[in-house]
This record gives sequence, structure tokens and C-alpha cells, in this order.
Amino acid sequence: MNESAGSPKNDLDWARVRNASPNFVDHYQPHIPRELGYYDTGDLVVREAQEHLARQHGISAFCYLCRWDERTSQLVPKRQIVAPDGSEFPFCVCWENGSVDPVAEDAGDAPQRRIFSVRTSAAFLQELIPLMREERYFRIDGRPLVIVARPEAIAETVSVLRMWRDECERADVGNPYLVCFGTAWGSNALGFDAAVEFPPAGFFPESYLSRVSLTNRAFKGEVRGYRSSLAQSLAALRPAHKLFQTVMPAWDETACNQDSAMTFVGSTPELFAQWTERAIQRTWLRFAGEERVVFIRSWNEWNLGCHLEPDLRYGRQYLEAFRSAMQTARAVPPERPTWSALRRSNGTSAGAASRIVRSSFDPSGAGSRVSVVMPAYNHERYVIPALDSVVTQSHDNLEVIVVDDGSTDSTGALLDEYAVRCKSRRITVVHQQNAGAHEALNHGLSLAAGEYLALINSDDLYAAHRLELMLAEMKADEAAFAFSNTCFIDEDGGEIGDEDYYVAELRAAIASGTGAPDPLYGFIVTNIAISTGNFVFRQNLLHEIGGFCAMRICHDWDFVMAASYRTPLLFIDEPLYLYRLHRANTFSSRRLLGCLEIEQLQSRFFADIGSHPLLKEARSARRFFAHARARGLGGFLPYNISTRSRAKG
Amino acid sequence: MYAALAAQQNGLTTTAASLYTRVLEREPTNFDATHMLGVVQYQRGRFDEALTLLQRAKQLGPDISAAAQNFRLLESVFANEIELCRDALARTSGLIENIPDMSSVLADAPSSHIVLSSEFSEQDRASLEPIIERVPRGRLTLWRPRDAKFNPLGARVLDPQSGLNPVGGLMIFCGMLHSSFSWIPAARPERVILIVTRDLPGMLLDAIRGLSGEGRKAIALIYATSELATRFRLRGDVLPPLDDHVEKVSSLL
Repeated sequence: MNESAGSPKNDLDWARVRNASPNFVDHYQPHIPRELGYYDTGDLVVREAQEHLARQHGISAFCYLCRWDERTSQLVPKRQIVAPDGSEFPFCVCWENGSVDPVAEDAGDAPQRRIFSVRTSAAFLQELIPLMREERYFRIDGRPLVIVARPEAIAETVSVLRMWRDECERADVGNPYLVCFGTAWGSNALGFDAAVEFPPAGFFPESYLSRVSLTNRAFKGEVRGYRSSLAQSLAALRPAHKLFQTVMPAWDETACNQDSAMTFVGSTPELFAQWTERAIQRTWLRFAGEERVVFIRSWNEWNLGCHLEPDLRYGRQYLEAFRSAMQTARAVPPERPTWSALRRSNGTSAGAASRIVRSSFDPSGAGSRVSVVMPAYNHERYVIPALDSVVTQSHDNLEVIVVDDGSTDSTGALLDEYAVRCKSRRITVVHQQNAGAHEALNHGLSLAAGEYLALINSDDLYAAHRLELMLAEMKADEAAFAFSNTCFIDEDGGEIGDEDYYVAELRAAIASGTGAPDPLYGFIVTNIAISTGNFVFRQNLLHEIGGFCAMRICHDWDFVMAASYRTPLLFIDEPLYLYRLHRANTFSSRRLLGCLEIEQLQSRFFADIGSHPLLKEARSARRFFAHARARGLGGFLPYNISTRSRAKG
Repeated sequence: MYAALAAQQNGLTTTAASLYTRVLEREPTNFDATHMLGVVQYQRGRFDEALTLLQRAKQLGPDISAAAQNFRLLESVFANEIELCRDALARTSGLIENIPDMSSVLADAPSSHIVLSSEFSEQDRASLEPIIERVPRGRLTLWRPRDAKFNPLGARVLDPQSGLNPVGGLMIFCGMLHSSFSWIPAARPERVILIVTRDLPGMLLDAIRGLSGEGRKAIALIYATSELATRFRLRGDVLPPLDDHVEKVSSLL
């Protein structure tokens, strides 16, 4: 949905748009419209062309920003909202009842904000009701969508919203779906159904002022980075309240304020497509049915350099970027392969095995058979110590399966040599084309014969008695999944202590999670097992929940969360796993992808939370939900749980 | 400090920054003022200053985790931007031209221009020099930005605002940091080639967008190393290793 089809605050003034000029080298100004020309926003022929353009590129409705004119008691500009004859293009209205733009907020002399009386708010609604009666008024689940820019500008907001709902029912237009701008505060408490983002407000983009070469000596404005806004948006966590996502193609106020404009630099259609794609993915995860709405702040906002409509420079590239993102965005978390699929594929999927090397040793020994699975990739420096730590385990009966995931260094050769040389354990080395950690893990698991399965990363280490101790505890507790405490080591194997803030944070998370009534309390916040390598589980768990899903970063965390529905998660409070921290680890360079995957796995986990075995007792459930809300996960709780608990205080 | 905090809480970040700065003028080792000024500078978009201040705050208050956390948050903002741009680059594949026969492109160009970037260094020269030496002098012009730290072989100054820029022919841009791309469409290059010299996704995205005339024309890429080609995964040739340059370039030209 398009959020600013007509912005009254900055009524489209083509003279200003034409006269805008660059303030710095390569400053894109003026913006010159292409096929639509310098159009009249009230011209019905133009409107028809705009609707066609929007529809063609996947935009399903316009949202008109309207002011309230006290003198005429009318919405302004109403002329724009009137449809061309026969138009069926949906629309809705946003009451722009005060400035929400980020400029001048910091000038120390913010203008007095106007407060609208109850009577004015009532009059506004009466003006709106005839529009709501139109067939093409945009609705969510049959409810007409109405947006309010600044709820605080409405006197007695809670009563006004109640009155609006009553009036709409009386007028037989349906209970309005009321939304306000904002990202971080209690829209629900005021009586709104949801909030909506309104960029560029709400972000702290990086200043580029020192990086541009000014050509306008009078310029006193701001130059900000589009990318940092986008990066902040993509890294933002899921809020506890319903928040619709809004994307913005660009921002440049030069046509409004030549010398004091806020200008965002660095926008490209590709980045806009990234933003759109993620907004769609999140919306898909967070909402269902007709609530799956994404807003675009754009359209007719040439004054603000914020238009999707074609211009001479980019043509339709932003529109096409939007359409392509709509087509490619996939948000549903990847499924975990079932056990039978794992066995069937036996490594013949993405990373088909090309070569297998086995040691000649035939395993035997006391105790349950354990299969240790190690995915290996480019760890020539660490893989031998890692294997040494496995083969020297005090537990007797074990086999080792190493999947070389297409290493490009000498890891593969080192593994083959080790397997041939090893006389004490059965070692199988499988070489496959690079297919990612989850594929390598699944491949290794599909070959495992042990009753218990233990994993290890090719750069980490086991403590000498790890498997013996863990198996004993698992049997005693009848747990099908266990993990131990972690010792963090550096690239040279030295222990990293709390002097490293990152390690201190990880340790605090482990302590907090494992000190809770159940480790699950910790797992819903972060992966307190730290890594896949710390997992030990019974093979039958794979039969129940399947293998690792195709997530690049969080496949392990997703696996534990699924396991929690089938077995207690047993924590052994001894540092039996030595986890190596590198300067460049996967997550730090793929944090934004990680953010999406975390939301995917948390969405999947919480989707069925009502049936979780840990929460059978009402008291346990209440405590768990309170914990989830306190940790900022209220947005994942089913809405009825979320509101019921809140109502109980 | 109280006034500064109050200003910050009310969103008056300019005022808050000025008040914290005043505190630091009196007490340069005040942890709170250093830390909070770092936060305010972040809110004002002054990321570099914020990073310096938060790093200093970490040193002043090694036991206080908030400064370290904020420092890491800011670091992650930079990392996130890099990730974002790397992903966005994959969407530019439609702007990247595949030149199956680079040798004939180079041989047939009536005139060739190599435009050096602002960050052009001795290391870049090492990879470019064999090419320069092998191109017939009469057909090649080298251009350098006015602020270039390095000027190999007496390259001409590039100053599009004064009309000093190449026109037509084959334009090879060495490096991604160019102060302006806006003169390029008017200069009507027959073909544009970018030599990618650094693993800087944001800069590469800007360069591809700028050099392609905002996406209206495709450009070709040459990577300075095969590692860069692997990192970016956009089609393009790789400059031969230094030892092979003379032979390879000779065969191309």
C-alpha cells in the first residue's frame, strides 16, 4: 500500500521541484518526472494513469495524507481523493494532524503542536464516513483502515477512538481498523489496533556531511546515509505491539528547503528492493490474512524527493525493484528434512558426496554407540586438534564421521590422511561440494549408526570426558538432548575470560538461561548452547523432529527449539565444550540475515506454544509468558495470550 | 550533566552534545559525559565521532558494560551496512556486461582512458602498470583526481567542472572511489570498465550505479584479484597475477 499519495504538508509545488538545485557534488537534483510530466494531482486522467502504474507494479492501494481544514470543516485535499469515474483502485485516509517529519525537531525551538478537540475529531470522522462507504475504501478483515499521524495531538485520545468506533458502527461502515504512526510506544494502550512506521522518522542515519563536497555555500542542512537507515530497519527486533512495516525509496527535502534540507544519499533501486523484501518477509511472519500489509512512503512526494513514479534518472527502476521484491520475498522458515528424507538423500542433495575415505578400524567397546559428526570447512589449522579431542574421549564405543564441505584449503587432505592413519577409532571422511553447514550436518547424520549423536565444529575441542559424562547424565535424566557449559578459546587455544565483553555477555546469557526454571527460558532469547558442536542427542530425536533446516546461521538454534517440544533440554554445568572465537565468525558478517532467521525460528517455535509440554500447568505457562514478555518477545506470543496476561496485570 | 541528560531525553541532541562537550572541557576523563556524548553523536549521525568516544568510554570505565555494549552496537551498524550492500550487489547483475573477448574490445577502441580513483596507491599501480605500458601511447590517456595521493606516469588532472575529463572511447576506471560520476553520461563513453581493487561493497555499489549512468547502460568488471571475484560473485574478468601481466596483456593488446 502506498502511504503518501498526496502529502498536504508539502503540497506538491512543481515550481519548487523544478527550481531545486544540487547542494553538493553529485547531489541528485532537480528530480524531473518522466512520462507523467509535471502533473496536476487532481487531474482524473493523471490519477487513472497513476493507478495503472501502481497496479502494474504490485501496489494495491493509495493512502492519502489529509489535513483538517477548520474553516471549511473539510478534509484537505479532498479533490485528490475523488476517484476517476469507474475507478476501483482502493484507497484509505491518514489524518496528518501534525508534523511528523524529522527536521527541526532538534532545533531547540520546536513549534507548538496543535491539539485537536473532541469536537474537531468528531467532525473529522463525519467527513470520513461517506468515503468509508465507498466500495473501494481499503479494509482489513472488512474493517475500514484509518491512520492517525499523531495520536497525542487528539485530546482525550482513548475516548475519541471509542467514539469513532461507535459512530462507525452506527453509520454501518464497520468497526474501523485504527492505526497510528510510531514504532516504540503503546499504541494499543491508547486504543489503536496497530502502529505503522513512517520513515525517515525513527532512525538515526549516519551523517555524510563531511564526505560530500558542498557546492552551495549557504547550505546548513543535513546529509544522511540511506544505507544506515536501512541497516537499522533490517536489524530492528520484532516489537511487542502490532507494527506495520514501511519502506521508503529515497528522501531529499531540497525542493522544500534548498539551504536547510535533510538529504539522504546512497539510495539505489537494489537497496530499496532489499528493504522491501525484508519488510514483506517480516510482515508475512508477523501477520496473517488481510493484516499482511506493507506501506511505502512515497507517491506525489516530489517535494521530498520521495517518489516511485518514473523520473528521467531512474525511469521505472524503483517501481520495478518493488515489484521484483514482491515476487521474490519468501518468509516461511525452511522446513527441517524428515528422518526418512535424510536417509533417502544420504548426501545426494546439494552437496553430493564425491569421495569417501574410511579407517580400517572396526569399532567396538563398552557402552552405547556414539556417532560424532563433524562438518569441516577450511579449518586446516584446527581440524587435527579437533579430531584428536574426539578420538581420545574416555567413552569407548564411538565412530567419527567427518563431512568435508568442499574445503578449498588442505583440510580435506589432512582428514583423509588422519582417517588412514587412525588405528583406534572408526573414522569416515566424506567429501562433498560446498553446500553449507546444515547440509554437511544432515549428510553426516544420515550416515551415523550410533544410538547417540554428538556434533563438533572442525575448529573446536571436546574436553576429555565430555561424552562419558554427558551420556551418563542423559541416561539418568532420561533426556534425549543435552548440552554442556562452554569454555571460550581464542585462535591459539587460550581461554578467553570475562575481560572480553562479548564472552562476558555470552556467559551471562548461559548463566541466566540455565539458572532459570528450565533452559528453555534461555533458549527463547538466545542459543545458550552457543553452537551446534555442543549438541548431544539420541538418534530417535531425528525421527521425531527431522534434521537441520536450510538456515545459514540459525539452523542449530531452530533444532533445539524443535527438540524442546519432544524432550527436556538437559544442561550439564561443566565446560565440556571448547568453543573457538575467531575475529571473523559467520554470524558477525551475516548479522542481518541472522536477524531474519531468528525471527523465523522464534515465529515457528511460538506458533504452537500452547501445546508445549513444559507449559502444561497454568502457573508454569504464566511464568514462562511473563518471562518471554520481559525479554521483549511479547510480539511472538499469540495475541490472546498476550492480552489476557496483560489484562491480569 | 543533568541539563545535558534532560536535553537528550527531550530529543534535543544538538543542545545535549554541546552540554556534554562543556562537561568534558572541564573534566576530560568524565566517563558519563564521554559515554553519553558518544550516544548523542550516534543519534546525530556522527558515527565516526561516536565510535571514538565510545572506545574512550570503554577505557575510562572498563567495568561498565553499557559503553562496551554501545560500542559493539555501533560496530555492528557498520558491519550491517557492509552486509546490506553485499546483498544488494547481487541485484546489480543486470547492469554488468559480460565481455567474452576483452582483447578485441581493447584492441578496437579508437581511444582509451584510464581514470584513477582517489584511493589509487602504489599497490594499484603495480597491478595496472603492465597494462599501461602495453597500451599504444597514442591511444591511451591517464586521468587522476586532483586530490590523488599518487601520480604515476604524469596522469592528467580530472576536473569535470572545468571541462577536464575524457570524452568518448573506452573508459577504464581503476578503483571505486571517484568524487563524481555525474559527468560520465555527457562524456558519452563507448564502453565503461571498472577495475575492482578493494573489498568494499558499498563503494562498489556506488561505483556500479554511478558508472552505469544510474542503470541505463551496462558496465564491465575486472577484478584486481581472484579473491575479490570470489567475494563479489558478479561476473567479470580477473587481472592476471603480477608476473603474468606482461604476457597476458601483451596478448590482449
